[in-house]
Amino acid sequence: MHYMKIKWESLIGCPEQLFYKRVNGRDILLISSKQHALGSLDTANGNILWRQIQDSMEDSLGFTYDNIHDIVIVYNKNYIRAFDYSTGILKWENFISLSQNQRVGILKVIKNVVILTHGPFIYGIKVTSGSLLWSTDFKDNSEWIGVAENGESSINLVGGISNNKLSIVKLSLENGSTQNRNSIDVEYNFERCAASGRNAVCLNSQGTILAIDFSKDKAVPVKTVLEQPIHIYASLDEKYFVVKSLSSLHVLHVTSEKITNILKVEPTEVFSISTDSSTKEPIFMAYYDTLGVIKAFDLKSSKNLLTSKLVPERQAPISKLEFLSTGKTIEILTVRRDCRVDLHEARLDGKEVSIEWTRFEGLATIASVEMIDLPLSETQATIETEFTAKDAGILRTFILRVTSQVELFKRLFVQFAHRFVKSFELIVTNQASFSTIFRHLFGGETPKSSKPQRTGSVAKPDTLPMERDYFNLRKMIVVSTTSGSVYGLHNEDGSVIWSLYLGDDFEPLNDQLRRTKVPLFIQRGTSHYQFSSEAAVAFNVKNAKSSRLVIFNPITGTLVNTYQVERLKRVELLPFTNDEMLHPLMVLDINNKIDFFPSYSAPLPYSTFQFNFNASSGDLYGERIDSVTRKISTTWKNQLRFSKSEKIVAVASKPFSQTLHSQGKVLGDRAVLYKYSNPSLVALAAFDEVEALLTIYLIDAINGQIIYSGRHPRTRPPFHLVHCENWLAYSYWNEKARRTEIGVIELYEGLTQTNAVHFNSMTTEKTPLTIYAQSFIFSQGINAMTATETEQGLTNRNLLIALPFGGLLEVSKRFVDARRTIDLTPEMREEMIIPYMPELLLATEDLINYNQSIFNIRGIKTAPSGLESTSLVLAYGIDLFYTRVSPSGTFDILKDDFDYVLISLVMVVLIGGSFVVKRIWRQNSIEQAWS
Amino acid sequence: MKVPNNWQTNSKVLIDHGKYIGFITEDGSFQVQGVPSGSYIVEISNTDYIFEPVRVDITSSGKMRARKLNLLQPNQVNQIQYPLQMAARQPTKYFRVREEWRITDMLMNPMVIMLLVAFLLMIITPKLAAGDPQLQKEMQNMQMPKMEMPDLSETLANFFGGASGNKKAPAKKQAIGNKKR
Repeated sequence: MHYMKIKWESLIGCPEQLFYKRVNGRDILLISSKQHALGSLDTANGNILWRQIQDSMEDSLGFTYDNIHDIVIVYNKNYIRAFDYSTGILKWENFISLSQNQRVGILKVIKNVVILTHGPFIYGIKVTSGSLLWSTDFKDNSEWIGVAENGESSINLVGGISNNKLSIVKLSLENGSTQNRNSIDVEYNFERCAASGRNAVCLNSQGTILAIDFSKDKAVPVKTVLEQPIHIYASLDEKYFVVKSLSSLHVLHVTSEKITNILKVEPTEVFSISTDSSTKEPIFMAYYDTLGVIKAFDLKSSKNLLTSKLVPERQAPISKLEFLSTGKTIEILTVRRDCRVDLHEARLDGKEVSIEWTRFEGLATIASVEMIDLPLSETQATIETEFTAKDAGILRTFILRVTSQVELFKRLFVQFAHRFVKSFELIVTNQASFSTIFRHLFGGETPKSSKPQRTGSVAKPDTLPMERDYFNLRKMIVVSTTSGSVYGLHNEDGSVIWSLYLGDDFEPLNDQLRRTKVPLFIQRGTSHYQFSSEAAVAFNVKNAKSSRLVIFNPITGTLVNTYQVERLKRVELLPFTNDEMLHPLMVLDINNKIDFFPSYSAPLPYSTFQFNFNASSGDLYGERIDSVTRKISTTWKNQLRFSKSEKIVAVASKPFSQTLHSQGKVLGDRAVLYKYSNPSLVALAAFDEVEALLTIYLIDAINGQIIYSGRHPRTRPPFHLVHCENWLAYSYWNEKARRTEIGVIELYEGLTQTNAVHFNSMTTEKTPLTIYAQSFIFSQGINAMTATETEQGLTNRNLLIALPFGGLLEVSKRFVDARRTIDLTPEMREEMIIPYMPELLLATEDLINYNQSIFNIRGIKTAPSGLESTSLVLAYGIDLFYTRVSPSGTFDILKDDFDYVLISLVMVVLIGGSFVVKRIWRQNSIEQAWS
Repeated sequence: MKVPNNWQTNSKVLIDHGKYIGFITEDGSFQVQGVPSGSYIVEISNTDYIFEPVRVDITSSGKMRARKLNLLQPNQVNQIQYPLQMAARQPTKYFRVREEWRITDMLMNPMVIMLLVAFLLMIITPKLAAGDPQLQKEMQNMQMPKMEMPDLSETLANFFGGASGNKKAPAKKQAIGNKKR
């Protein structure tokens, strides 16, 4: 097996918490994500320095950085861990089971103790070893908002017990014992308080603002009045607090004597305060989404330092903002709603802002993937135009023919000239090997002169020709994400060519199996050059009983149309096209009304059925779609008779575009075993949680007939199904033997075929089906599983399995064969069936990602390329991995290491040699004649 | 074995294929906390080296034991020491060695050897015979069947020399050849 290009990118995930500061001359950028990862980024180029994926818990990940010990402390529901900042190595961890319904309040390092508050619990953890020094339980429903050191060996906590009290507690830092408890009985709701450093600021509904230095034993609050304050935010700098009121945003300067309102700006949700690292002056920065403008103010002088537009425009709004000011320049880190992370650099003298680097962290939340052929190149389009002139006269066709030939010749010449110049350049600059240049001269891929781009960055516009290549290996990968954007990725380097934000009210759909989905449909491919390609994405509208369909061009990312529909129950692409070569989208809403986009009112070209099920009751329905009456009628109903704890956990059908090349297998005795290739066969996996029973069903969706059912007692999730051609592979955890197993079912019609032209569900088979089933032990866990896909279905299909330790394994279907038995007959041996062995061997040579480990993979998408031998693979999760595989070897192209130089040398020598020999012979013959 | 840089960050301990995760500290030790009683597979995820996975059983009273992982016979107990000590078994091989063309491989081919031996004999026998006049005489007396072999150079020359202009040349040659004979 031979693999070519490999592209890999690791992501951190949608940022949850950011830390961006200059500490001791180093720029530190730490991100914790909703995908349970903690990562440290290089601020110069945005590359990941290290990343640690934590246990996947429901809870979010919070962290703090301690500059004295140079560690990052992370907490989740069950643990607290400390990682070394510079290497990412674990320093210590401690298991603290925090109760479910309370949230973590504070995480702060004071002297040598990590203070973690969690509802009424306060933990003191030694910062060097992670051992629990003490824990205090206040046994009430108090919650703490701030902690500050008070003297040498005690800390003061501020927070509240009941709604109208602000309470200050003094604790011993050594043993956690309560030394003093003060309650300030004021009309403040502690939930409208914020604390930073040693100051706590509260506001009440009357507009009075109270500030208190809670680190002192006897704190005296100071007060001021502000109009209609709504919310208070603490800043990293303990002296500054931001109050949001209805009409404006106020920055307050808090000291133990007084509160001063030093700045008043237009209201916004996104702002930040930071101290300049060279001048030590505090700077306030706010972002206004309606204008896309960022404003920076010097808080000492209230002077506006910078007002500038952030590029690129027309992106998702910014949700988080952090910045780092170093005298002349300000580095601004922004996180957009679709998880895009940008680092901008602003010059205070020139007042211009430019992007330093970009990370599309939304790609860690991919929901659906489609790979689209790029549009035809101009040359290919010219050939196509030649055939468009229908009913033209002989002369006209002839002229058309000649002109297009001339045009083609001209293009070829220009192209070759270009290639020649480029090759010459490459030779002169000595950038690529002679062999690559030679290949390039005769139509090979252009050698990359610059170093490859980081995946998940913005594509450079000039490097990527947006047209189809000869083998159609170059594709556009369109992905929809659950974070609200759709992206177009170039499959050669994974760079983001376009992104389309779906709006602030975006919400993913939920399917019957309670999985979040953002379905993506290709309505029209790029094969119709007179029409541009169209794709659709469906999602729910937040806080509304409606859904939305967004139609866009998948090559350019431009929006074509938006349809607002009633809340969706089902959306499906119909398997035929309308007059404009568009596959209509069928939408079924909660009122059971069906609609088509674009509208389709003619009768459907052939009867179209849909399969429906109730996941918890096990009721199955077959429904017929009528486009004229816009109704669906039930054609059959079936019950799987589920027990109370049983429900459907996985469904796998075959895509309508899937092709089956060979209808049967030739056996050793020259008979043909015909495959049962029912295109409307659906595989269901039902799981009973109490009995731990897995049942696999194969159901014909047209007539409701259960073709096969099999049971596996004592199993556990995860379950994965791969349904292809005439076989189903599924994986489960065998609880009894405590191992993963892969089951495979193969269906055959037998030695005679009922209908060679079309499969018909309505007729019965001539002979009862032959069903082979087998299961194998798999020594690893399985994160995702799929089968390779090629254009004609001629090439063998291999299984691709994403493994938890970071590998992507290619398993030949020959090993996962249900016809493998222990005692093989000579006929079977001639057919080259491998004898049955219980274990599927896992060889590290079969890992197609080599040492580029990929973690937390949620899905693998395979797509055919123009070469029959080659299948394109994209594995996605917190890492993205793209490669090409050729399951049966690259039988249709020359090997990658084919020696062009040697071959051409041999040719030249042979031709030259024959001429020389001819001359010598002539001389010889003349000499002989004279002698 | 070569120890890669920062291997602690790039390795992880996976319990039951990632149900629980353990991180590795600077000195190479690890612990996984908060695991309820049961039987678990403990494995190391590392890109450069392969580690042998281990099964760890935790009883409901909290007693722990480790044994060799045997997926085929899960009930077989082959106890190993606990706390676990895991060492890399071998570097991970990701590439199959590409088959190279070597002159020795070709020469050692039995067919080639047979050909070579036959060729050698062909050269050596006449020389041996030259030393022995009796044998030479015998060989001369031996009637070898004569065969007209097509001349390769001639055919090639015909081919390259074209059909019409050079037709005479081969005829001439044949004539000369006959005379000589």
